[in-house]
Amino acid sequence: MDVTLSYAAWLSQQATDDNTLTALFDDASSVLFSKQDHETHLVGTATEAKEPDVD
Amino acid sequence: MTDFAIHTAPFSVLVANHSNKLTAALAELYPAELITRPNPQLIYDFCLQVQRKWAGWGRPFHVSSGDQHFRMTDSAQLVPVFEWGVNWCVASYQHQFLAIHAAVLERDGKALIMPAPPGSGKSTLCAVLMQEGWRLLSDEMCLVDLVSGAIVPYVRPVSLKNQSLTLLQSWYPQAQIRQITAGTTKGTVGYMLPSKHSWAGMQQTATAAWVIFPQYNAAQQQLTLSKVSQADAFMHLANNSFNYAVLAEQGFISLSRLTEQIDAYRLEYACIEQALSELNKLC
Repeated sequence: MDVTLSYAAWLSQQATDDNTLTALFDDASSVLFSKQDHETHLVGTATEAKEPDVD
Repeated sequence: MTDFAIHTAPFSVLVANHSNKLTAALAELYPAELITRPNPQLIYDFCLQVQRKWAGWGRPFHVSSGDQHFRMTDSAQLVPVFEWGVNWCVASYQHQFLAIHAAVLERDGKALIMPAPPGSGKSTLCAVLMQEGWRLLSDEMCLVDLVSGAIVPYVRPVSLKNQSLTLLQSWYPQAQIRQITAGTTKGTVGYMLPSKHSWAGMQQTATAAWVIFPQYNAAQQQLTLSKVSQADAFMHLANNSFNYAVLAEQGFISLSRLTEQIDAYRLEYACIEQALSELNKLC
């Protein structure tokens, strides 16, 4: 095994873990938040949160 | 100049004002003790300017905050534009709370949150629930304390529009609806005064318990109340939040905590009595 590549993969995995917050609710549904791009997604869909118009 | 300060907890607002009409109109909507002369010793949460820019017929009043323009308006529409201006300031600047576009009412310490876009019947349902004894926290703004997770009241007159004004006046003739203004960008707008119970509890927080997404639909044959998953409720609440994106990670954590506490439903109705009955059974 290429030790350098393996470390890079580990580092990448760590970065992914550290950059994502997950909320798992009692009804087993869950949402993810990416700290990197500040996007929120339902787990398993591509729905993204947007702000409403301000008035 | 008739500058004043208005103290509707949790915000104290300084108003640099050029209109005697506005001062008199707000005295009809808010308890006298909440409107005071400005105190130079105080730091206000934000300042709203209502300034007459020129004499003449066409929208002489400029409503702004700092150097941020909000609206030009004529004297007849000063009250709704002022109220919208206050909402705009809270949504734009008050990021010590997660702010969700929703009506909030309380019973037995538990908060019922109703997020919905304009036209969904949110304010009508909110006004009816208040008339039926629920305590009003807000008809417009659900404020979530980022530290404690409590729902913080922001009690102000309930904004009603168009047909809802007539309906509420007929259902509750004793209700006090004031400052009815025709011809605004949202049609005819008027303000129902909060109940004494609601004003008295204006600093009393509540715990989130239910989220209802109401949708009035005149063609609806039968009321439907359907359960919404917590993740779906989370996304709808985020979409109805003014500052979820601004708060980023803090917003996600706050909204996750709120979502863990609630049961969420979608309510489609045509008959207000049925909606009221269903909510009384549920909550």
